[in-house]
Amino acid sequence: MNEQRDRHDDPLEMWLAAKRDVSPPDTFVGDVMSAVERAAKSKGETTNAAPLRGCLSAQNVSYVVATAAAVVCVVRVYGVVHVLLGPTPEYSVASGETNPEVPNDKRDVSRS
Amino acid sequence: MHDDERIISQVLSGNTAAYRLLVSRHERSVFGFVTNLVRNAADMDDLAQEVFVAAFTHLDSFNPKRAKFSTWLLTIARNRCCNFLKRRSQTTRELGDPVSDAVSPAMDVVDSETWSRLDAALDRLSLEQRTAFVLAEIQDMPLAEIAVIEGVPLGTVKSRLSRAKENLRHALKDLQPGGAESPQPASQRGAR
Repeated sequence: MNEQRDRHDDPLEMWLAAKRDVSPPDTFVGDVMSAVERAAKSKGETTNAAPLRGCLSAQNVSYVVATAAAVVCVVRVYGVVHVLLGPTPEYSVASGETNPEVPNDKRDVSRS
Repeated sequence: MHDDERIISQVLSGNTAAYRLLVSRHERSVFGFVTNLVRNAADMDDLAQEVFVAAFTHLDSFNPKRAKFSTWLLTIARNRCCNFLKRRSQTTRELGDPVSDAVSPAMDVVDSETWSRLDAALDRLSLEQRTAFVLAEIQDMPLAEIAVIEGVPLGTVKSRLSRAKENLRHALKDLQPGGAESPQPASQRGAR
């Protein structure tokens, strides 16, 4: 049994040794680094493009629209409040800017 | 491993050229693993390259507290190879010629036949058994690290490895003394 096992294990070990003795081609590191450089470049471009793409996302568009609507509302409310609460034009009596009272019979009602 | 971490921090700080050192340190283990797992000359170079590029792209997610860099790298390699092999088995049986291991002139016909049988037996192993066997017996990795790579308990790795060895020994059983071999099913011959 041991003899048979030795006969089996020996080629198995030789086969394993051959499997372990696998080397990459000489150009492997260079090829990998070329691919890595390309990946680094595209990664950098992606990173730089990210803020612009973020500004144009759907979520930000809705935010911009909502902000614009809020600004319009504030302006309109301000206009209404300004009309309601703002000072009405009055002539000052003290400064003599009021129109002098004119008796009816002295009013000029001629059409000419 | 401390050196690996130092190089990684250099790469992460923008020194892409430093990654060459990492590739040089681990090219043999990654290439050997991919070659012995995929066994397809047309694809193994590309796959091994993809492993290093993927590792570079996701280098910021590497956590040295969880695993060594070599373990992390072989986890990527294992996942890539499994995906590739699953895709290949779905589309076509063989896309290219399997790698034929060099046979030395001194090797007699019996040994050549033995190696062919072992290669075929390795190809017939389930994906889980094959990755465990390649990592343990060919890459000489500790079983605990294989458990991390496979994402399974240590006992599962041991049982997969045991079954893989049993299957490979079984492939040698019908070789008779003197180089003659007993008849075997046509289906097994066709698998070679």
